[in-house]
Amino acid sequence: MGHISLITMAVVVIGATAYIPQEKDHFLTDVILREVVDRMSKDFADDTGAYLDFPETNRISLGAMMPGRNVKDLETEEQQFPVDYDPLGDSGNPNPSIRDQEYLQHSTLWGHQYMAGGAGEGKQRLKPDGAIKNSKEVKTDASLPAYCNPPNPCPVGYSADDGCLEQFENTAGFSREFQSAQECMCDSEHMFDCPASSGREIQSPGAGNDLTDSDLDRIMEQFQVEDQHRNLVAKKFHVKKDGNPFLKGEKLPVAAKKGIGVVY
Amino acid sequence: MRPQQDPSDPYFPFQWYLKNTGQNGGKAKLDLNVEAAWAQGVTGKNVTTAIMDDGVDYIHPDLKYNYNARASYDFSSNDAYPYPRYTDDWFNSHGTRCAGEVAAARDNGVCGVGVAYDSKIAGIRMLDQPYMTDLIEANSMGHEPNLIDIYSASWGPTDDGKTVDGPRNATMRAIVRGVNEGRNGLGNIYVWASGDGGEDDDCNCDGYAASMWTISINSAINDGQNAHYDESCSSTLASTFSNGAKDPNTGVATTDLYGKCTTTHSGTSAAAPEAAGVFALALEANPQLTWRDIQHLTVLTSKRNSLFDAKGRFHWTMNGVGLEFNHLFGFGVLDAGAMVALAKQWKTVPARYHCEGGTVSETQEIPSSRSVLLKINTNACQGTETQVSYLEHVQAVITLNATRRGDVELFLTSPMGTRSMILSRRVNDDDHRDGFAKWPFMTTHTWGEYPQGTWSLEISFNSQTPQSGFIKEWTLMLHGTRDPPYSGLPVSDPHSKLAIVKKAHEERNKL
Repeated sequence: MGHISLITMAVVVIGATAYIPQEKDHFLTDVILREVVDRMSKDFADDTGAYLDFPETNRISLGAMMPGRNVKDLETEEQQFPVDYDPLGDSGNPNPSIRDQEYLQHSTLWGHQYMAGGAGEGKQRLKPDGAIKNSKEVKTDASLPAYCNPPNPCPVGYSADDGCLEQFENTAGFSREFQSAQECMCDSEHMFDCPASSGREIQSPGAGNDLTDSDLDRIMEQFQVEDQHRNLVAKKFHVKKDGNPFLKGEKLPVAAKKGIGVVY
Repeated sequence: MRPQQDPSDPYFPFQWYLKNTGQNGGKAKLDLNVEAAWAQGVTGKNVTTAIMDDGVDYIHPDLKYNYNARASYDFSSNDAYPYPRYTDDWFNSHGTRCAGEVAAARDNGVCGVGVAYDSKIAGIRMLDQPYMTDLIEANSMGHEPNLIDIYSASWGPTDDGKTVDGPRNATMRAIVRGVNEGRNGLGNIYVWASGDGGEDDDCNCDGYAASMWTISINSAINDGQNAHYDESCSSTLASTFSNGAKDPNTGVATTDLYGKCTTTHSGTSAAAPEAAGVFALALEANPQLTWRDIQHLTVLTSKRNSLFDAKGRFHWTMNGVGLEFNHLFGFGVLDAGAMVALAKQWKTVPARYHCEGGTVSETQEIPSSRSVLLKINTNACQGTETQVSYLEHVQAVITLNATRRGDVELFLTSPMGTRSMILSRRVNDDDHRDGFAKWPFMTTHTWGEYPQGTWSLEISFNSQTPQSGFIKEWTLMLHGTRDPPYSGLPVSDPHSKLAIVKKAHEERNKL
């Protein structure tokens, strides 16, 4: 009993800080929590390891670490938790009918994700007067570049000590200036004045290309996916127009743009 | 009931979804009936709704005092402040618009008013990176589950009419954990937009909307028609309102980026936050409501009102215990006043059980011009620990393939004769390789019914050209209670849906 309450406390600590360094988490997950999981027919501890402990650093490594983690998570998870319908009522799960408990049941999904939503979906009118039409947008985990970071103004009751911006003006202009000082990928889908090299009219014809696997091409590939509907059409109607040397020449400046951003 | 004045906020007259007076060609009184809830003194106090989107302008004068900073996070740039990223086209205004629908402040002279104007919103910025990962989704849906009561999502697999996709591993676990353990064990409420794919898509192919653990919300326009972009599916539980009428001034009025206001918010993604706001009202009225109580309350208090299918395809039908449903609108449009009133008297529904009703696993060919009829006769685990006597959700877990997946239609009929279209034709889905692999098609239409007896599954092609395929497996999953769910509830209105279902359940027990 004492043991369990100690674990509960440990879990509370994780919940409170949420993004503590990985080493601690591994210690908890691997050594202590597993014991608890064996006793309780809940997936609590395993979940903690599965999705609460991503590194604080940045987005790229977040994605890069995924494959390895997923394999590990799957293995430990399947030992304790029915992934599919089959174990329901089987001996594999000693207590199949825990009252009022939901089970993880789903078909296995493979491959990359493609998600749509927000203002990228359907017909929307942007800006308060509806002056601008939205454009369709599909997001995927197929590649992992990053946009600029928005400013972090202080919410009511917060101060600079909390790591937010006290000197802040809630206007489009302020945010534009703030972001333009950063070194990051220009979002050509939604910025009118990206450096010419990264404009969407250049990426679109890039559609049918077989891209090589350089970093630069990975970024290009991402735009392909965002434009996937148009590209599907483009492939049908522009067969053999691919391999356009004009397009190959245009890829470089995308990388160069990162350098340009440093000037500020 | 206290006499109430209309909010004085300048955009309130444009908020026909809160109070429809017939403005701009709408139908008077076709609205969320929020004033009846407010008149009961319920405005969303101590309830937090997380907007999982592209960020929230939490400096907005109409939102800043209703912003729950502790429960917020920015997963797109990994910090605690989900302020939206600037783009020239103001693309990232979506979360701010959704937030205003839920919790814009009242009588402050700014924009309009939220459905639950004393509730809090949390911002979870997770849509604004050029990619999406399972980890971002999972962390978003599992963020601060004891501080956040309701999660509102207006995203999901691409609504291109040919995608079949859903939550991946970590995300699925986050959802399951949310309903099992969130809100200190009462379960988080996940509200989902059913999708903007139009009639060529079916939201049962969207594993988020089709999940039992999400409440999927469709939208109607200001005169009661379905919106032209509406996707339909049998997993939709209820509806709220969005744009789509010819008059361009019938969009959703709400807050916009950089302290501004707008009247042009749109899509089913505008409908989901309205539902989240109504659920916030219900949770203030009764903070002990579980995630299942909210679904039961939704079923029992949603109204047919004057909702109708503009194309005359889907009619209102009564299920076996007297509940009216429509394939487009679920059990109807949310009624905040009625939900709050019932929430106050509510007694938590009995324990829920899961029963595998049966499986058909012999492979059968689906002929091109004739349907295949499969039957499962089930006692719904009677006499076992998992007996289900009163249904909540039903899933048909199906494996099949076809020369053209989009031409396959599936109908599930309950022992009481309720027929759910669990998969409609999707003209753009030309898949001929993957088919469906143990895909859980869900229906809410048989809510409250008794599962014992013969269920049938009808598989057919709806196609101009000859097709072929094979149905390989059908497993019937029944979810619900062993005990009658509403026996402890007082009935105040003999014509209410509660009265009708309760009477049906009581009469059966006499037999």
